[in-house]
Amino acid sequence: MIPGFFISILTFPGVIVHEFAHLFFCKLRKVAVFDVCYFRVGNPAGYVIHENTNNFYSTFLISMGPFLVNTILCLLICFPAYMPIKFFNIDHPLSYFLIWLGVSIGMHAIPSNQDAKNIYEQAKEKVKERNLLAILSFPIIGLIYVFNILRFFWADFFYGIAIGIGLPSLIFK
Amino acid sequence: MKIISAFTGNIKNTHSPGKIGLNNGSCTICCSGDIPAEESSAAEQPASGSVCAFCKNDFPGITLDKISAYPICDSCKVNLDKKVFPLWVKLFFAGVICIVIFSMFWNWRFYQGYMDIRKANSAFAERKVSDAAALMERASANVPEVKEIGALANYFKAVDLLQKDKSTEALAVLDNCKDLPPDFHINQLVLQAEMGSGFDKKDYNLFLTSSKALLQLDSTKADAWASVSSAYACLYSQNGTDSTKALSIRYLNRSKALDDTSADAKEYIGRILYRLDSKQIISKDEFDKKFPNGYTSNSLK
Repeated sequence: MIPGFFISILTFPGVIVHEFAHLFFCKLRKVAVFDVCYFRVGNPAGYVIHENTNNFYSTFLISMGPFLVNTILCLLICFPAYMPIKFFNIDHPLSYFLIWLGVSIGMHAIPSNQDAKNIYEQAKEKVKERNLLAILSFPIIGLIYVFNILRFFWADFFYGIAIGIGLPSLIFK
Repeated sequence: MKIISAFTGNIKNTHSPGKIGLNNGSCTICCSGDIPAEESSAAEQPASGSVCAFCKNDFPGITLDKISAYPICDSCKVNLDKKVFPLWVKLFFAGVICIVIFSMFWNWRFYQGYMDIRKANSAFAERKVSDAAALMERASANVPEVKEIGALANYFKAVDLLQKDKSTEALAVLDNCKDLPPDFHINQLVLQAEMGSGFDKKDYNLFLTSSKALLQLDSTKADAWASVSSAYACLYSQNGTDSTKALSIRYLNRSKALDDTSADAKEYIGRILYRLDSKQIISKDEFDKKFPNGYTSNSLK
């Protein structure tokens, strides 16, 4: 079994982008940020400390931000490298670097259990007001928890591969 | 009150305010100490407009800027900006963006090549062979590392030249297609080109040899039999030997037995008969001009 910190070191760009995505959505929703750790050798490998907000949409966006940002960046970075490797069988160090960078970022797209918990805390209140996003967020929270359990079976790695290589494969059949 | 958005999934708030628990597998580590105390206390409560919520200094008579609800002095703002978005992170993102933009330009030729290959295959399927050849040629120029694309470009070009009755040129181009898989039937194309080249150069023995070789590869096609007949007819026009005429007629009959109704077959049979009757070898264009309604032989009825 490979220790988590070792995987974090190998895929550190994903950690940085994950924290940046939290920060980005904090700024976007004008939520004060007090501290950011983009990467460290430890658990967690990174974090963002920001003020609490009662706005459920802000909480949802801040928590789910990495899912959007990391997924999009993973696809954007792997895209240029996909064609020479997969279609033309041309090996170039730059292509493999891009695949590593893209998949590393994609691996850290799924929000953490802490992020899921942040959403849950507000969703359970908002659901009483029949807030549609709050209702929809429950299955999402469930999926996040399940995914984080499946990290043990390399689900994060497979997600990165699916986005970085699987999606271009579907586009360029 | 603060909230933590953490990366690895195992961080969780404990029930104690301001205390954060880390769960790493089986062990739980409390890491409240990881959050600097000054920040921890700084923003707990929004302060009045002249007191910086971070350094607690009062700036009488000045309304400080705010981050969310928290007044912040200029110096704390600079420090906070440096902390939440430090230079190395900016450089990291600048580097990532540069690499992505560079690689998009760097690898664009592969996408261009891919698109051209797809278009070339579609054009070839629609029998627009000239277009297919030009597109595949461009794809080959974009991705010269892949030899198969160059071979395919030559294949399309050779087929295009054969269709334009430029057999000698096609023969030279086909020489570069030897590496293509057997299902491209390069041997047959080479024989066809040799037949055409032999006809063009009036080397009717080469025409005959190649047409016989082609017939051996596939004897189910009427035009393969007709080609041998045509070669014998050419030899007959050249040397006037009756035996070659007889052979030409024999192969022609085999061809007719397979197909004598299609327009192509009728046209080809007419040309061979005219050749046998007149001992003259004229091009297809000349023949079409001379006999726009086709040729009927009286002597061989």
